[in-house]
Amino acid sequence: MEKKITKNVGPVEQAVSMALGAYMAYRAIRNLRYRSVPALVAGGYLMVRGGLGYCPVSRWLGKKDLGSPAINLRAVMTVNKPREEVYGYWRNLTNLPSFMAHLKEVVEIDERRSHWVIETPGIGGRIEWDAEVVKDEPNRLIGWQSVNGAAIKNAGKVEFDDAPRQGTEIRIVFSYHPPAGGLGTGVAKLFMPVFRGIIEDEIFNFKRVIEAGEIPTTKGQPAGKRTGKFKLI
Amino acid sequence: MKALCWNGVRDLNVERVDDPKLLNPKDAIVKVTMSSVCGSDLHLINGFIPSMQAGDILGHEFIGEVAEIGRGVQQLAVGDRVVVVSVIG
Repeated sequence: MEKKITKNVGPVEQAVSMALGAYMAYRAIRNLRYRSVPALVAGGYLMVRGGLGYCPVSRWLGKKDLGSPAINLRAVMTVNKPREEVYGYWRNLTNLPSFMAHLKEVVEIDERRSHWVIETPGIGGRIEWDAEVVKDEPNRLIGWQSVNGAAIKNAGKVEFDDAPRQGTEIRIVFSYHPPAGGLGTGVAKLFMPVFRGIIEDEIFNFKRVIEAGEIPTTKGQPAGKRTGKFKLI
Repeated sequence: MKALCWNGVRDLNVERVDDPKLLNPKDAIVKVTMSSVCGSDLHLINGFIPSMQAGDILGHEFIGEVAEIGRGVQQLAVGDRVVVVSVIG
């Protein structure tokens, strides 16, 4: 049975892999000792990777093809509110900034379209785009995606189900496509854990906002001596 | 009040701090009668939680007695014995 290999190594990377692999293998063979075996194996691997344009390690790391892979954030949670109310809150996408702090604002343009603004922390820049609701099944599902021309192509989906005894179970997916393939993807992957942590925390704020009407905090309450030590964020 | 303060990685002290205040109408102040140690306290103590800073007060699984309630609190009265949900704060 023939199995087609999907390339996941770009042409430049292929050439670099080939050259580096050949060099490593050459060096390893020239002074072949017990110690140079790993270098020989690594060189061989790089050559195969360069030759085929396919790398199982890259694949394992999440790069399945040459297109820029989306960054997907998923969250599942149960909130103690009826399905209609939870759906209604999400259907009005302008409510999203109430629990997702990285969203500066979402303005409704019409029934289906909305304008989104995020502020990038640190650099003080703004990123804006228009999004459109592409799927809307009342009390079941809402799906939206950015319209053409968005700097960060993105999409999202929320599904609503009755939780076993009371309340609503919601499944949320946010997908972001980093601006440029290749390097952009690499940089995005690097910041992924931080980014993922921030967004996931924000998504879970939804439960606080819908149930308590606000995000509970201990801000303003007493604490021990703030020596400023160990403060990371 | 007395509080168990985190002053750094594995550096804890029982210290005297200001009493808590009702800042939000939905706040309630609970006088702790008993507290337990949770597995996640170990992550806090050992410095694996980046949002921690020196001076933070530890302890999030406890029972106690309601000492004061805000204007917006309807389901509790002063003197009630309560178990506190650990996810707040």
